[in-house]
Amino acid sequence: MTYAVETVDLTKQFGTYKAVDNLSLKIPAGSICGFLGKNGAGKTTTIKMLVGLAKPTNGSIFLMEAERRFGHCNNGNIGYLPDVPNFYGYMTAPEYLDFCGKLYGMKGNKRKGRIDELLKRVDLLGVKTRITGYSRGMKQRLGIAQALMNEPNVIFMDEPISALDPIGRHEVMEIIRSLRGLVTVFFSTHILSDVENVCDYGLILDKGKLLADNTIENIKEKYSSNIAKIRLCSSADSGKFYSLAKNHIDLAIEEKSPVEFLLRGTDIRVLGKCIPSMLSEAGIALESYQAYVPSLEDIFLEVTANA
Amino acid sequence: MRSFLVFLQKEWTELVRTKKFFILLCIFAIFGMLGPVAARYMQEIIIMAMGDTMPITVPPTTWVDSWGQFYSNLSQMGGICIIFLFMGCIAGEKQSGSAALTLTKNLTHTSFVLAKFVMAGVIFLTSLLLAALICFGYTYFLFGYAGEILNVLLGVMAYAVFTVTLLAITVLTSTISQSTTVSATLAFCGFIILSVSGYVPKVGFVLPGSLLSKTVELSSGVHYYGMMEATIISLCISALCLYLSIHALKRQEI
Repeated sequence: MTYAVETVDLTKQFGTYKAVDNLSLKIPAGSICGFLGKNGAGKTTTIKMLVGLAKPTNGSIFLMEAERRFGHCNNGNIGYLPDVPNFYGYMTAPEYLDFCGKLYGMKGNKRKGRIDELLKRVDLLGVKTRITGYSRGMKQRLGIAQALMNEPNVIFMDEPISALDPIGRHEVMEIIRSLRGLVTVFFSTHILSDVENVCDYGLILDKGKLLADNTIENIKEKYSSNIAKIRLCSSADSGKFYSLAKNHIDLAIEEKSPVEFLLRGTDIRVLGKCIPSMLSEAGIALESYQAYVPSLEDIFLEVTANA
Repeated sequence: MRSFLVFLQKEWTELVRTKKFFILLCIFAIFGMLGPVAARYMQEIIIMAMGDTMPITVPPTTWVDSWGQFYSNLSQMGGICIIFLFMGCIAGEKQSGSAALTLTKNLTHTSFVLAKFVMAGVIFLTSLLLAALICFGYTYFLFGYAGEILNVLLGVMAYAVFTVTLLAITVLTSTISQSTTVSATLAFCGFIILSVSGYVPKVGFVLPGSLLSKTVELSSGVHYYGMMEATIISLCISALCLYLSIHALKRQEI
């Protein structure tokens, strides 16, 4: 398998503070990877190191299996969109993309064709005004276009949706979704539902440490394996059930509604045997029992709380 | 080389569209006109101001005073204009984040710094030549003579070498600073040091400041010993500033 992004023991230290702590990850080529973490988790620092704008204190970076070094930003096979993209406001979007295309050494017709294609993709075709008058959403869309100008293998985006309104967010997420299969997308965010909807690979970073690194499916499977979702027939039994489960030494209980509970045990198979019998003994009617698939938000909260 | 030329073209577009080129052109053109006018009417102005109480006789002004006024204005305000227009050339791009976008697109740090310097130099030299041409023409019109062309060009060249050195210092301060304010402060300190360097005992005559203080003499045909050395030293300082600027930018996290 080819890895688009690979880091080995990547560390960034500011004085005594470790912003990124021995980060080792492997992102398969072609994935859309969501890089999750709270504010200050180390996401921006990591992305800056990956694109060559920040110097790692320790560790190595490989992009498409080629080593990436600090200060060597001239590798034509990546695209980069910073968290607050700032373009030359006196240019128009086609002029800015033309400037980028020329920097990449793209020739006349190919460059022009690529500009039209990208402007259409990000819905800026026909916009003749200068960038200085653009809304935040338009700037983000132009940011994606410029990052794609050189047909990169990997595109890094730092919180591309965090400051956008719901419509702008939807538009940008749709563009990211449309890139599936064309390019490896590595984007940081703290909006978990977007990662869940769009990404096929996820990373969770907290205090500079990598807490989860897998496909979204595998992450969910891993964290859902020991959780059961119980629905009672009547809310009248909820108090009785709650105290029963609470007193059970191997169970952690979380109330979702008066009739709905999440039970976390050490093994889902044991849960499947002990819960129905426990309810039967107590005379509590069970409406449904199922293995619970948590949302990414549940997982994120769980892993960062345990970190 | 390709990326250097592309970025140079972008710099030209920026200086034109942000009106920086026209601002510098206008300011220098005004200096070009003010010099001869101030020289021509200086005697009348002094007599009007002092009246009959003036203890000395003011000698009549000549075309040399015209160049004197011209360079007097340029040596102060010209330098300040250069600092204000270019203090943010690199610091501003780092601060706004636009440098991060361009430096991840096959543009080397060397091309980034050199293109900034070259285009700033081009618009400064264009403005200076226009100003000198205006001053020459107007001096000729008011005094009937404006000096030998070659001598005038020598004076212009001395001022140009001094200011190019100031420009290189401004590019360096803009690179090592995180904000335009810090860059301007450092560049202004550099400007003062550069200006007074000509008065350093024993070695001042070969330092950049001597080029600034001898512009009028050069324009009037009085050459001085040490000009060649001062020019070489100024160009070496410029080259060193650019080298340090490139080196500093390469080591910076943007």
